Amino acid sequence: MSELKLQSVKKSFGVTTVLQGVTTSFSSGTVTAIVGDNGAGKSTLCKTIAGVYHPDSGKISLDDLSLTHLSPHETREAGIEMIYQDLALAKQHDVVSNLYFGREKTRWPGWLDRKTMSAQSRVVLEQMGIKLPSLRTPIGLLSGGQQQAVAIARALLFSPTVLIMDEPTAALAAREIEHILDLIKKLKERGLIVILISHRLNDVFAVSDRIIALRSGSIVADNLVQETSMQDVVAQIMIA
Amino acid sequence: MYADFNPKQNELCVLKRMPKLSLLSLVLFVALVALFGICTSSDAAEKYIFILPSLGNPYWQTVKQGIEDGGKEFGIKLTVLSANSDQAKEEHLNLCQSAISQSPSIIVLCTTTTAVALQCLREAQKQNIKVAVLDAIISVEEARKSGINLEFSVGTNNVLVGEKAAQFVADRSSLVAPKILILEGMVGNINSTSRVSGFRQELAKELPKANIVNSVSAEWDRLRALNITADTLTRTPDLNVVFAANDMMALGAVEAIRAAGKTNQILVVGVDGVPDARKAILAGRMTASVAQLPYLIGKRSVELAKQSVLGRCSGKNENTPLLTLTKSVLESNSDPLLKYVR
Amino acid sequence: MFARKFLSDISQASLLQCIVFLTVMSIFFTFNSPVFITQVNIVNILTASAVIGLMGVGATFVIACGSIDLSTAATMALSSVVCAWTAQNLHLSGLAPICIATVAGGLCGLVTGLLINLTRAPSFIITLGMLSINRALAFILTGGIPIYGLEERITSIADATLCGLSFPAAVMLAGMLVGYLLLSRTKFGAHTLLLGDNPGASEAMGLRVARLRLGIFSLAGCFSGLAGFIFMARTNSGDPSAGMNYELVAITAVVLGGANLFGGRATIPGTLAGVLCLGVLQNGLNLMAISTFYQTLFVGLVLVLASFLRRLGPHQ
Repeated sequence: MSELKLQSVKKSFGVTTVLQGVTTSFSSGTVTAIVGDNGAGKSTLCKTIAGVYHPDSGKISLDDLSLTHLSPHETREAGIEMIYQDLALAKQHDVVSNLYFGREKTRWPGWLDRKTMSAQSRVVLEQMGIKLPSLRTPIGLLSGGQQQAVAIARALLFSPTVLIMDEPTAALAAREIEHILDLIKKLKERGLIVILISHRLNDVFAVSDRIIALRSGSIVADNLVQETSMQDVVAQIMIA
Repeated sequence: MYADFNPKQNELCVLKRMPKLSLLSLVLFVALVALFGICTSSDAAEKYIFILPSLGNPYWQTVKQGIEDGGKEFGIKLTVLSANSDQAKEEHLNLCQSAISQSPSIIVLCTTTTAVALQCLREAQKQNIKVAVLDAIISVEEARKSGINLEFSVGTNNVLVGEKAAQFVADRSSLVAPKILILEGMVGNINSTSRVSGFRQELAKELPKANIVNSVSAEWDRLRALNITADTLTRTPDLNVVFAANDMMALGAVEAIRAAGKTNQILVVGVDGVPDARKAILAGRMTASVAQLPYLIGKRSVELAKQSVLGRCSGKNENTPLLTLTKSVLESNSDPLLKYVR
Repeated sequence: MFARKFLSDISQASLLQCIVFLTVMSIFFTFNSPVFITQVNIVNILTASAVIGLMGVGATFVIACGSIDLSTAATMALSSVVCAWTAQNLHLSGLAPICIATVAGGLCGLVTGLLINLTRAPSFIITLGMLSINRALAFILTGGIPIYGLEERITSIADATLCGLSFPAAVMLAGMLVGYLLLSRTKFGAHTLLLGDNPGASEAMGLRVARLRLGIFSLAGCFSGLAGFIFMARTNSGDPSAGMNYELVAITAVVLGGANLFGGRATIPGTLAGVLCLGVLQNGLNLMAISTFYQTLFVGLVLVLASFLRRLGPHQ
C-alpha cells in the first residue's frame, strides 16, 4: 500500500494564485477524479505532482519520499507517470521510440537495443489488448484512440505506482472511451494510485471511487462516489 | 517545457523580470553612448571623407593605409569609412548618406557597383559637396553622362589589368594555342567582369588560337577556386594557363595544381599583388600577379583631393601604373614602383 | 541487425529519392564527360565535398533537434585561423593541429549552446549573432590578412592518402560514420531526434534538454572545427573570410537528404547523399565547362525538383 500526500501545496504564476494550499492524500487501488471548471487548477495540481512545476510552498510526498523539488525526470524514476492532455508524443517517431521516450534500453557499449525494445513493446501492447497496424509507423499517422493507447502503454511500461491522467477521454469516439474506461478499472485492480482529471461526469462516475471538486485552487468537496450524485457535483463546481 | 504552453504564465514571468531587464539595458545603453562619445570626440571639422567598400580584404586595407599616410604627408585631417562587405550594396548607400550629412568639402568614393556609386554621387552633388571616385570605378566622362561632375577619377582601369595579364601570358607562353582556365569573381561584380573582358580581348589579339577551356565564377573564394581547378585538371590534364580575377582564387588554383603534382607546368596569373601572392611567387608556386598598387592609389587620391578642394583640379582621369610581379621582378627589387607594393 | 537498421535508414522514401537523383545525375554526366567515372574524379568529388560534408554532419544534428545553426561557416573560419596561428607559432605538426581546430570549433559550439540555454532565445537569433562574433574574432586575430604559406609539416598530413582516398575525403567519410553511429544508434542521437520532434514532451518525459542541447551544439562545433582544418590544409592558409555562405550550402545538403527543417527527422546517410548531390552537380558542370550563370540555375533546379519528388513520395 502506497500513499501520495499533499500538504498545503501553493502555487502562483506572477500575480495569479492557482493553488491556494491544497491538502489531500491518495491511496493505492483507488481511482480519484478531480473535477472543476476551467482554470480551477486541476492541470496545475497534476503537473505539480509530476514535477513539471514546483510548489511555492507546501510538501508533496510518496510514502517516505519527498517529491516537492523533483524534476519530471526524477518523479518518473520515483514511479509517477502522467498522461498529458496533448499526450506528449513525438509524432514523427514510431511506436517503439515513443514507448521508450527518455528511457531507451541500451547494450554494450551504449548502442540502442532496438531488438529488445521492439519485442517488449509487442508484449506490453498485447497484454493491454492494444492493436496497432505496425510498430514502425510514425505515431502521427495513427488514430486519436490509438495514440491515446500508446500514451497509456508508455505510462504503464515501467510499472508505476501513481498514474495521473489529464482528460484521457476528451478527444475520443464513444467506442474508444469504453476501452479506456475498462483499462482504468484494470489498473485499479492492479493496485495503482490513479488520479483522473475529466470534464465528462459520466466517465467520472463510471470509474471513480472518490471525487474531489476544485474551485479557484481550493478543494471545495471531497466525497466517495456512493455518497454523492451528479447534481451535487455540478453544484459544487458551479456555485460559489 | 510544458510550462511554456501556458501563455498567461509566460507573460507574467516577463513582467516580473521587466525592471531588472530594463535596468540592465539602460546601463548597457548608457555605456554604449559613452563609448561612442569617446570614439567620436575628435573635432567635427572634418573636411575629407573617403568611403571604401570593406576592410575585409588586404587590398582595401592597403588603400586605407595609403590614404592615411597621404593624410599625414599632405597635412590633411580625413575620415575613412567602410562597410562590412564588398557585397553590401545597401550598406554602401547608408555610409554615403551619413557622409553627406556631415557636409564635408569632398567625398572620395569607391563602391563595388556603379549604380550605388552614381546614386551616392548625385546626392552629394545636390548638397554642393565636391565628389571624386577612387579605384577608377567610373571615368569622368561616364559620370558626366549621368550629370555628375567628378573632380577626378583615380585608380587603375580594370580592363587594363586584364589586358596586362593577357600580354604576360602571351609573352611567357611558348605555345600558339595554350589551354586556359579563367576563374571569375562574384557573378555581376564590375571588377571581375572588366578584368575578364580585358583579358579575353587582349588574348584574342595576341593569341588568337588560344583555347579557353572553362570560364566560371569561383565567387572570390579560395576553396571554390581550388575545387574548380581540380575538376578542370581532371578534364583537361594538359591545361597550360590559369588566369584568376584576384589573387585569392589564384592561390586556390595553386594548391590544386600542387596537389596534382603540376607545379611549374602551369602558368598561374592573379591580380592584386597581395602579400600571400608575393610569397607564393617568391616560392615559385605562382607565376605572376598584376599588381594595382593600392597604396599608391590611396596616397594619390589624397593628393588629388587636396588640389580639388583648393580648386586646382577638375575632371581628370588618372590611371595609376600597373606592375606585373614575377619572381625575377621581386627578387631583383629594382623596379621603382615596388616601394608602393605593400 | 546492424545492417538491417542501416538498410531501413536508407530505404526511407526521401533518402531513396535523393539516391535515385544522384544516380540519374551521375549517368547523365558519365555520358557527357569521359572522365566523370574515373577513380581520380570520384576522389576529386569526395575531396571537394569534404568541408561541406563535415559541416553537414554537425548541421544534421542541429536540424534534427529542431534548431538551426547559422554560425557553422564562421566557426570553421575561426577554427582555421586559430589552428593556423597556433600551429605556426608553436611549431606543431601531425595530429596536434587537427585537435586544436576541433577543440576550437567545439568551444565555439559550447558557447552557442550555453547562450541558447541561458537566453532561451531561438537558435536562429543566437547563431546569427555567433556568426558575426566568430567572423569578427577571426578578422581581429589576423588583422584581416590571411595567414598564408603554412609550414610543410602542418599541412603534410592533408596530402596523405588512405586506401586510395585523399585525406580530406577519408576524414569526411569517417566523420559521416561517427555521425551516423551517434545519431541512429545511441541514446544521445535518439534524444536529439525526440527533442526536435516535440520539445515540450521531451521536457515532460524527463529528457535533460539543456544538457542535450549543449552536447548537440558542441558536437556541431567540433565538426565545423574539423572542417576548418581541412579548409586550412587544402588552401594552405588560415583565412578569416573562409567559406562565406557555406552554412547555407551545408543546410541545403541536409535538407536535400530528407531532413525535416523543423526537427525530428534527419539521417546521416541522407546528408551524405545530399552533399554528394551538390558535389556531383558542381563537378559535372565544371567538367562540361558550363558557365556560372547556368551552374547557379542548376543548383536551384535541383533543390526545387528534390522538393517535388518528396511530395510525390509515399510517406507524406
